[in-house]
Amino acid sequence: MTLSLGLLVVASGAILAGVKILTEEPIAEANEKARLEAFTEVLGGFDNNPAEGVVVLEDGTRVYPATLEGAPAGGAVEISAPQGFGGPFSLMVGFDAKGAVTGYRVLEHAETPGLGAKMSTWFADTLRASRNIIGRYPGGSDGHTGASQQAASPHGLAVSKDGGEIDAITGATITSRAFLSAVNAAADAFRKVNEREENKK
Amino acid sequence: MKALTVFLDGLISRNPTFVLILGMCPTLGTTSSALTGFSMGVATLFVLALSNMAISALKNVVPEKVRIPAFIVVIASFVTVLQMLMQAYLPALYTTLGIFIPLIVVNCILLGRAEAFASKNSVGLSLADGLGVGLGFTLALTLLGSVREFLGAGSIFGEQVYPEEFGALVFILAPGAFIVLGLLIALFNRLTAKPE
Repeated sequence: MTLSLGLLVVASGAILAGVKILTEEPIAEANEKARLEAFTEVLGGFDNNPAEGVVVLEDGTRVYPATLEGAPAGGAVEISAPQGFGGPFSLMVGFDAKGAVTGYRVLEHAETPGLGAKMSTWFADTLRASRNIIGRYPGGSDGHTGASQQAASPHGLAVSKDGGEIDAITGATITSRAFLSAVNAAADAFRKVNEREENKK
Repeated sequence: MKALTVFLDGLISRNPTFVLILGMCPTLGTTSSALTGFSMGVATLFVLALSNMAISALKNVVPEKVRIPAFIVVIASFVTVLQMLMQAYLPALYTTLGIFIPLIVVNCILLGRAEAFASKNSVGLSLADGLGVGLGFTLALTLLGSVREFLGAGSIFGEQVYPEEFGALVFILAPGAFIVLGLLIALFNRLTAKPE
């Protein structure tokens, strides 16, 4: 009895190990491809491989600097939003050289389909200015409004319920708050890395 | 011929969603749109067909007393295989379904079919049963997802039929899932009722 169950477990373990080895490379490739696609989607124009100059901050946030013909062209920030409704989710937010949002992409999430999951398109609705975050200057979640940030509101982006100017997703205020605070944190991380780079020069 | 009867049984007269009312957690949880419902159905179909075959093949090897743990090991292995394959080759779908993929392990349709059918029948018949029940589940989830997406978001499989603003959000949320499911079960029973 114990033996047959033990054998079965060993056999399934072997199968799983085999499939894991087989799929390890395709999974890594798929992730890499997804990241490259994300760069193209969130950044304006760039001709370098942003993954090469990646800066990883203390909290795990990744900043990918972009350049166009050698000149800085903003960058993409990969950040985790810890306060999602369905647990943490991760975003990639693109900025131009001045710190304005050029685009974003939700990388992984467990938000409610039809509600919080709408964040992947909701905040990029160019037809509705009250939802759109593209072209806005987020940041300031650390009380800092740097020179590189033009017209950044002192408290960053916030939903209208909290006195901000962005419409929250209908029925998903928690997700919207988590999303916007992650975008603000991304902008701060982007500015921090930029300042650090400038100080080096 | 027997296989065909078993297949149709699983599809219609023992439809897991509309007749057996099994596997309600993914049924209600993943059907907020037609596409996610359909994908969940296909993922379950895949695991159900394979686990039914494997359990049927193992039925004389595994002692009666440990059969349930054995079933769970088999089902969990296939689900993990599916999860890794989806992550490698269908990453977009994997992201959409998220936590519901590993949760296929605890879908009671799988254990139900293993215990009630696969552990007593031949490999071929178990495959037919797995395909029938799995397809029945897929059709039910796709139908439920389509109705909810249509009433809630004004689209079917992402194709906008009428503007989203006119949709009733409740159909995307959990209460809508129960309402639509109840109505579909009633409709299914009406259509399959035998004349008295």
